[in-house]
Amino acid sequence: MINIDSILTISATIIGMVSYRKLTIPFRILTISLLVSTLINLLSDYIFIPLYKNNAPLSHTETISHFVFYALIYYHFFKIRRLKQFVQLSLILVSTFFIVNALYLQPLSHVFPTNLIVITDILRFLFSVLLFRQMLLYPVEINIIKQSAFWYNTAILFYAATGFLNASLMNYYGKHLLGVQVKVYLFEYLWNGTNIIFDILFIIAILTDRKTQETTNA
Amino acid sequence: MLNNAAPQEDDLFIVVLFTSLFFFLLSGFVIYFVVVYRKKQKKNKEEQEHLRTAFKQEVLKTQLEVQEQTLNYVSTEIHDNITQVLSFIKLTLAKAASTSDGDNQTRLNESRELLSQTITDLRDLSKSLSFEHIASLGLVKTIEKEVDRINKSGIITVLFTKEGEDYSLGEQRELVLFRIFQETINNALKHASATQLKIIIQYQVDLFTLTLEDDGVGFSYEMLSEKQGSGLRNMQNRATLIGSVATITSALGKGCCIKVEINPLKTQFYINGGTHQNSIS
Repeated sequence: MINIDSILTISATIIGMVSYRKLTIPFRILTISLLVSTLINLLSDYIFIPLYKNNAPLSHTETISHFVFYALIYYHFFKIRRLKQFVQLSLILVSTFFIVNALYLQPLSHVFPTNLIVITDILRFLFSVLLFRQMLLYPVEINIIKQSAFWYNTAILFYAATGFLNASLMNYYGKHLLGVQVKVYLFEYLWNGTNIIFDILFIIAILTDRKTQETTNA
Repeated sequence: MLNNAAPQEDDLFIVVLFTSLFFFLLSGFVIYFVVVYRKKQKKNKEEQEHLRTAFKQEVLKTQLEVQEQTLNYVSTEIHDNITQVLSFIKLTLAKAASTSDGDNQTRLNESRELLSQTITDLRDLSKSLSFEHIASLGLVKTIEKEVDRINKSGIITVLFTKEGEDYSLGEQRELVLFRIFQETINNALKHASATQLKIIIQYQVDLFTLTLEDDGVGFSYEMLSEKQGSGLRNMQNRATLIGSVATITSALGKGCCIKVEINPLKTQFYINGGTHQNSIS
C-alpha cells in the first residue's frame, strides 16, 4: 500500500535526481541515499519477503545504508578536523558492529536490528547536535532559513530523537494485546508522522540547496 | 516498576500526549537555535564590519603617512637643494651682468628677476608641501598664504572668508583639511575649468566648517570616471579619518561645493588609535 510517507520519499528522490547537478556534494549523497532506500524498499517485496518471510533483513540493510550515507553527509558538513575523524571512526565501528550484530547478536534473517538502530540513532543525534554547535561557532551570512544544512540537520534531529522512541514504543505495544484500530492509530500517529516530517524537511533541504547553488552561480 | 500487564487505551493517550510534548520540545529547541543563530550572525556581521572599517582606516592612515613623508621629502629637496642651486645661478648671473654691457646686461637682469620669482614660487611651494610649515603656521594662515600665491598666478580667483574666532583643530586634522583644500584647488583647475573659488571657514564653539565652492562645469555622479570618482571618495575617506563628514554636491553647469564639518569637541579615535586627539601614529 502506498502511503503519504512513501509518496514523499519518492518525491524527494525525484526532486534530488532532477536537480542532481545543481546540488552540493552532501545533497548529492542524500539523493543517492534516498534512491538506494527506495530501491531497497521496492526490491524487498521480491527478494527479502519471499526469501525470509519477514522484514528484518530489510531493516538491517536499510539501517546500515542510512547510517553510512548520513555519516558521509555529516563528514562533508563538518569543518573541524576532530569531528571529521569522529565520523570516520564511527563509520568503521558501526560497520563492524553491523556485521557482528547481523551474524551473532540479532541474526539478519529473522531478528530486527534494534541494537543497531539504537546506536545509529544516538550517533546521528550526536552528529546533529555537533553540527548545530558548529553552525553557532561559525555562522555564515546567509539567512538560516535559506541554509540547506539547517533543514537537513533539523530532519536528522527529529528523526534520530524520535526514531528510537517510536521503535521502542512500537515493540512494547506490539507485544501486548491491543485493538487493531488502536495499533493503526498509534502507527499512523508516531511512525508515519515522524517519517512525513522527515521527508518534508529533506525536500525543503534539497530545494534550498538547489536554490542557493543557483544564486551562487548566477 | 514495569510489569507484563497489557496497557490500557488510556495509557496510549498518555503516550501520544508525551510524544506530542517531545515533538514540541524538539521544535522549541530548533526555534531557540534559530534565534541564537541569528543573534550570532548579527554579532559576527558587526565584528566583521568593525574589522573592515579598522582595516580601511589603517590603510588610509598609512597612505596619508606615506604621502606626507613624500611631500616632506620633496619640500626639503626644493628648499635645501633646488632653490640653493638657483640662488647660486642668480649670483653668477649678477656677476656676469656686472661685467656685461648694453643688451646683454638687460637680458641678464631680466633673467635674474625671473629666477628670483621662480625661487620665491618654489619656496612657497616647498612651504605648502611641508607638514612642519602647516603645523607652525596653522590652517588659516597657511590657506591665506596659498590663496595669495594662487591669486598672484592669475589662473583662478580665490575668495577667502573666515568667520568666527579661530582655534586649533590639532595638527593632523588641520593637515588633512589643508590637503582637502589643495585637492579641491587641483580639481577646480584640472577638471572643472573654474574661474572662481570661494573658501569659507567658519569657527563655532561646537562646529568647524570648511566650505569650498567653485563655479566650474560641475558634474553628476553617474558621469564621473572611476579615477575622478576615486579622487572624491578619497577626499571623503580622508575626512572620515579625522572624524568629519565631507558633503560633496554638484550638478552639471552648476559648479561644485565641498563642505567639511567637524565637531572640535569630539575626540577622534580612528586616526589616533587611542584617545589622544591630535597625533597620527
